[in-house]
Amino acid sequence: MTIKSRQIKIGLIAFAGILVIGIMSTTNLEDAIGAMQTVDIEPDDVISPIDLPRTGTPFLVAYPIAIHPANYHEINVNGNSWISKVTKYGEISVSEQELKDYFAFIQDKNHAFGVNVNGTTKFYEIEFREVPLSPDLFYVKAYKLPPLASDFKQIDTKNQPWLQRIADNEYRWIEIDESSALSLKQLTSDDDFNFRIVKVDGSSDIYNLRYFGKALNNLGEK
Amino acid sequence: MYQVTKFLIVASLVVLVTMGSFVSAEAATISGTLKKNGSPVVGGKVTAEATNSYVKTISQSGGTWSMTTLDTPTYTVDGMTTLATHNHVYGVIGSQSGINHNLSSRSLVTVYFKIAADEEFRTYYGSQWQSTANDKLISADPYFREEQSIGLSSVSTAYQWDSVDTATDCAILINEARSESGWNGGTYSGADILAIFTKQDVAGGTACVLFPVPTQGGTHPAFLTEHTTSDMARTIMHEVTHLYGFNHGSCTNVIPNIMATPSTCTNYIKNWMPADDDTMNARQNWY
Repeated sequence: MTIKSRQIKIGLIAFAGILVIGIMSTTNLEDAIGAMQTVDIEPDDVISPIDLPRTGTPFLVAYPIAIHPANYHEINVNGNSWISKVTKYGEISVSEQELKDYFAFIQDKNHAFGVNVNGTTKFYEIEFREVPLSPDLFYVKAYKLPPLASDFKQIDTKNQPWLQRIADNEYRWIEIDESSALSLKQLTSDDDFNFRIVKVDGSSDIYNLRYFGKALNNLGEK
Repeated sequence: MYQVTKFLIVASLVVLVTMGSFVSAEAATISGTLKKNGSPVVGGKVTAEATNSYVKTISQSGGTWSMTTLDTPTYTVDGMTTLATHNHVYGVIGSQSGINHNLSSRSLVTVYFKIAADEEFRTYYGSQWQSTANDKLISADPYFREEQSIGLSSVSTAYQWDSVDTATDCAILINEARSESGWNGGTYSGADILAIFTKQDVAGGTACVLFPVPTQGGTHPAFLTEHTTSDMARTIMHEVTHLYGFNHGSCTNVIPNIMATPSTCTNYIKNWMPADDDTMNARQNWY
């Protein structure tokens, strides 16, 4: 064997070795990925919350759907129904009976609703929530809306300092005191809960405000 | 004669034991006060937790509370409020008053999530997709905040992810979102955990994490959820608790809890059982 052929042979052996190591590495990598890809899945038929003890105050929340869903529950709204209220206010606390009605609708796992008001259908996804809140206190939650051309009532947090804390903690129920609750009652006397809130740094965003707690009706009246 | 007597005694015992097993538990009232650093807590949460039984109430003026439980199981009564330690009172059985908790202050740890939402999710919710994803994520916050002094928050940079339309495997979707968003390459945008939302159908379920679950914090894990579930707060609470190193627990004869196996357990509720509260407390700073 010449030096050249020996070099070729050594080269071939080395190449085969690299191939074997490569294949082994690949196999080990696949094993590793395979191990990582064992997933925990929450199944579609998980026990419904309606059959479980409450862990907080029950709510329903409505998210607007931007497209025409393929399947949805078509509802003709009447003024006092839970579906009328949740689509108007975005989020409401509900009774156990209202919850039963809701869960009867979504037995098919479809949370999309087409809500017909005066011949026009708007689409919403309605979800169940529970929140550990006390009905004897006052809470406000700010849900940030996208920038829209519509006019909204403007509130400056310089005049309503409690709103800064609400705007800084969007999507959370924040406890407020009675005087702030009274301010909220006055601000929403026209039953409109959408505002442009001007913050301390001068920036502003549009929020849908939501309320839970003691009834505001009699607040501030003697 | 001896055999007959022996038979009658054994039969009577069998009847008595059988009858005993059909005696249903009766209602019992327990009560106490919830305080933090010696001051009454209004609006705090008190739970009574026993095998197959869970009751909760909210503390009132003066920190007082009462609730109706059952008289037979032995309860652990747990007092909690935001920015405070848990406090368990063990061995409560029957009607008892004076079950008092005095909690100590503890700091809030904020865990930051980066939201990744696929094109189907964004189309479905339109211009409000980011608010919607945030609201769904934060729905689990009250539980983490009140029970574990952990706040859930999202960074402002959400990632617009494009999911492979034919993919239904949860692991493939998670890995795709991790890879596309740069999460695998260390683009965390200041977040600790990647929260992936999809409007695609996930085969076999609604939400998932990759196994094995983390054994320590700071590993930048991810979870994925479909756009809607029967209880979004429960789904997120369960998946995020996996990311604190928890696996599923047993279904039978346990305190109703969040890590009960969702596929089979009828005890799957938004509650960490007392032992898991203690473990969560030890892992509060994982992220």
